[in-house]
Amino acid sequence: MIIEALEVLFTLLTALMIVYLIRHYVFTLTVLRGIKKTKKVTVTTDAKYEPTVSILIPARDEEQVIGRLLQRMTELTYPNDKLQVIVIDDASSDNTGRIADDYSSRYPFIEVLHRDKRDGGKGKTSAMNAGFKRSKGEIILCFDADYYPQKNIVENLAKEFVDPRVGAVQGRVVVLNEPQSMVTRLVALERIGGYRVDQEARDNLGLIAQFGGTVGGFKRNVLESLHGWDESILAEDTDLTFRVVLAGYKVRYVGDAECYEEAVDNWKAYRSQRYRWARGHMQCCFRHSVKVLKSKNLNLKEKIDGLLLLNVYFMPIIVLLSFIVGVPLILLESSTLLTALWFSVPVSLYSFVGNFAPFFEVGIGAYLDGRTRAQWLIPLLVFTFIYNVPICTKAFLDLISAKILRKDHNIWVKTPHSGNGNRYIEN
Amino acid sequence: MKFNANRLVLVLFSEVIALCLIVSFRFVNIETVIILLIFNFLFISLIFQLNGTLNRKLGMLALGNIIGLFWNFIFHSFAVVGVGYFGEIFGAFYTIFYPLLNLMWIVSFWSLSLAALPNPQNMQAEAKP
Amino acid sequence: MNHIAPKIVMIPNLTSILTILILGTPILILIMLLPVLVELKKPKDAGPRMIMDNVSEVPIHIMRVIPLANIEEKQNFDSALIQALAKIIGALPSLEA
Repeated sequence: MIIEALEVLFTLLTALMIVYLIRHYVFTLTVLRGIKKTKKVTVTTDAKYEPTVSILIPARDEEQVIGRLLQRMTELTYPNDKLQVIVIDDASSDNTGRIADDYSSRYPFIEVLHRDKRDGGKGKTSAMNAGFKRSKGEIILCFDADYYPQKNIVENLAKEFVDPRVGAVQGRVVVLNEPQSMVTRLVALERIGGYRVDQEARDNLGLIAQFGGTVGGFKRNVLESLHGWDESILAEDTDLTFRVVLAGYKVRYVGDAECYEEAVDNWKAYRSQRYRWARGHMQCCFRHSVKVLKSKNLNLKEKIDGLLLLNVYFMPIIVLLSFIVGVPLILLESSTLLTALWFSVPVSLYSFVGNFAPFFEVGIGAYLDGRTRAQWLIPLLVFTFIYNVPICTKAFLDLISAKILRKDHNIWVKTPHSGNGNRYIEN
Repeated sequence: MKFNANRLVLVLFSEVIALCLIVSFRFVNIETVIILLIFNFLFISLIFQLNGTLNRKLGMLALGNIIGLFWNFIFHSFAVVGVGYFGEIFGAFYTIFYPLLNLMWIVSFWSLSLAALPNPQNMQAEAKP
Repeated sequence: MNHIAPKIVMIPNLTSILTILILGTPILILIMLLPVLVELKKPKDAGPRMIMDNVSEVPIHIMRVIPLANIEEKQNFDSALIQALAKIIGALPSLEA
């Protein structure tokens, strides 16, 4: 009886893993073949589309990197008279505010909003809402303080909003400090798989591309109708993504809009960041799953992929469970089918890492990027996955305990930035 | 002559692949055949679409099959000897870790193969930021 | 363990063969992971990947968008099933916050 129950459980768990593997395989094929299923026919006129744009930059203790980004803001090719850059100095205890004030004094389109310790320091979402209240642009874009965009990124992102169906856009993130350590090199591989293939495929197939919290933005009226960022949730980007699509708008991924980021460079920072992502994403799953299923604004494939996207941070736990359940079953050799399904467990080990791109997605993404030897590090991704298993498990258990004990544990732990990426720009 | 030489090379590589499958079925175990088929599927469906001559891709595929066969033969022999020496418990370890052991060579070889192919033609021009 | 049933029936010297295999297995794994070690120690493609900076003006014209028919115009799937699934998930405890 127990054996039969374990067999059923194991079969369900591995079936779920196989569904994700097939999904990512389809994504890889889609990008390889350049398949685009959502198409639009366009007719050009002589009129020019140049909306006013507000760029929000939340910053707390970012003196190592904020100057680099603000200097870049002054080099953007978008007309300054249509640009408003708002730095939200969120209760910083270092020179972040002073550096921002210096740029503000020299460039009229750069403003600084200082928040003291009473109002500020409550997390990124609180800072973003404060900046949004001050903004005036028709388009709202967001950049984290450690980012460094291409000069024409505003044009590349803004052009998507010509389509009235588009409510949000997301650009591509490239790791700047990739050579710094093994962690940064593995994170760079994760980004390649996640953006070059995963996001691109989801956009091409008309599925739900995800707003990643930075290097992206919204139409002002859409953000206003959604009442801005939800400060009760850790993964505000995922939450906004689904609120936008549930409201009937599209999120477009713009692969040509590229921006550098300074990735975490040690395992402790990696753990802290991924814990926040996992916990926040799981919160979004509980919040939006039923709404996605019931939504009249989503078609069937969007609902299916939306659910798969919402549940993705549970997959490391699923893989762990399947291993725990599978080992006694395999040892008892209960059936040939189970032995065959056992193979999907280690395949999933190379699949659910970081941005949850399997090894073949990462490899193809690196190839399409013209990388020559970065692919050699792909076998190491199994270690980042193994590292993600306890992170995601802890995130889930903490959610359960918070629910049972009725405690709010949504504490935003800031990712520290050392400015080590600066040397790659200066060179 | 060149046309025939190319044809010959293609046939040779295809024969090597078929031979690996037959040898694995005959002298190792059915799981090795399945592993090699999975590897071949991944390789053909994804890497064959990339730049590079058919000869090169088929050559890499053949090399991968040889490595996979060799790899599984070594570990299968290890399991046989281990079971004979330590008993059935050793076989249990082998059964549990068998798929992961195979993933090691599949992922490594598949990733290396990408690096062995020419760069894509539509690669973005690179410019310093 | 049927698939481990020995194809090799006679093993003349079990201990020595086992010793060779125990020593050889990590070497084999090391060889397979050699490219990883080489690239870590002496990286030739450590990045960062250069991103393109288009400095020439990219004029964005107003475009009249004519959406083509979606491939999935008709959903033959039973929407009642989706609603039932939504009710089941909705009944489960939420760990939203």
